[in-house]
Amino acid sequence: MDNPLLLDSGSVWDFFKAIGDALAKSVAGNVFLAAIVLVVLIVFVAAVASKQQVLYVSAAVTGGVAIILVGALSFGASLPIWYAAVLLVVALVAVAGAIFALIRGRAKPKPLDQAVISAVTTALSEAADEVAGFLGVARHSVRANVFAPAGANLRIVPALTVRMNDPRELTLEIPVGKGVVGTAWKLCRPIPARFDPGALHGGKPWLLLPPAQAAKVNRDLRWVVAMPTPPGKPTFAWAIDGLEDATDDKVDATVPKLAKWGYALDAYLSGVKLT
Amino acid sequence: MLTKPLELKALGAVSSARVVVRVDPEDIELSDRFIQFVKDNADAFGNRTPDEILAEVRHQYVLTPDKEDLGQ
Repeated sequence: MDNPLLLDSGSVWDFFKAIGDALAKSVAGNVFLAAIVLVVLIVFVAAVASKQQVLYVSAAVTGGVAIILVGALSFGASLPIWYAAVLLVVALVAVAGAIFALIRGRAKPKPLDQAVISAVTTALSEAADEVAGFLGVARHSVRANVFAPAGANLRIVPALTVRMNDPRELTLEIPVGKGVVGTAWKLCRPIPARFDPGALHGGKPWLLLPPAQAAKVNRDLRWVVAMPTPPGKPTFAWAIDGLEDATDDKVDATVPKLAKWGYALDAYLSGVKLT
Repeated sequence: MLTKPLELKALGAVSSARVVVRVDPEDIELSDRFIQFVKDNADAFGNRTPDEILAEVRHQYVLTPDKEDLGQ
């Protein structure tokens, strides 16, 4: 058979053998191609290691190709043994990493238990106090809360709030893309904002927030900083807001101070079922 | 820190709002409160030190990709 891909048998084994042999011969006869294959595999391993989830499946597929190449050695292909050994190690790491990541990605969400609630509310409280100190406003005027995605909305998680004492406000649901928090979520970026006290009491819409939801929000709110977390690929959002006014510059400058607290919240809330 | 204003016409009661496009790494700093929190909850952070966490947080914010639709 001149062309190894032309099979005279329909068996899967023959097909596998033919592909492996063809790939192995191509790689063995071309140093540049061999190097490219190795580099691509290393990149996929790095992708798995850096938690780039979209590449997990690619890593698994590429690792499989590498295994076919290595397997082709047993069919008499002339791959250098050192190259095959390196390829095998890289391929096994890629496949193991991809399988681990896929299994982990399908892990059952953890419940929101009292230990998590206690740690998260402590972190929220510390973050709020840090911001209050920075802005020079009373501690009791700075509040904090966590929002969880629920369908097309973001729903406040009542157990994960600090200094929010109005039960009605704890039922707040914000459509994605609306309001400060919903817009921050849509853009996957922090948004600091300030409110016009006159407009709040005058019933103006809040950045396109539905009136029924806007009516739940504290009318004395002066500013808010919405933090989708983790940045870029948020799984929840949290916000710090204040009932005492501060300048735009000062409110903006709280974002870098809150970034580390977002990391702390994520350490507890990652993989936790919030709604 | 680099920010971009949101369209005011859609803001209603919001008098000003900005989208954070980038946070400069040197602007992100540890605080005594945070250091203490990490020490008190070392297990939750995989026993990373506050400095190690700071490096990760700075990395997270620097690598946040730009989006085309930052406007409203």
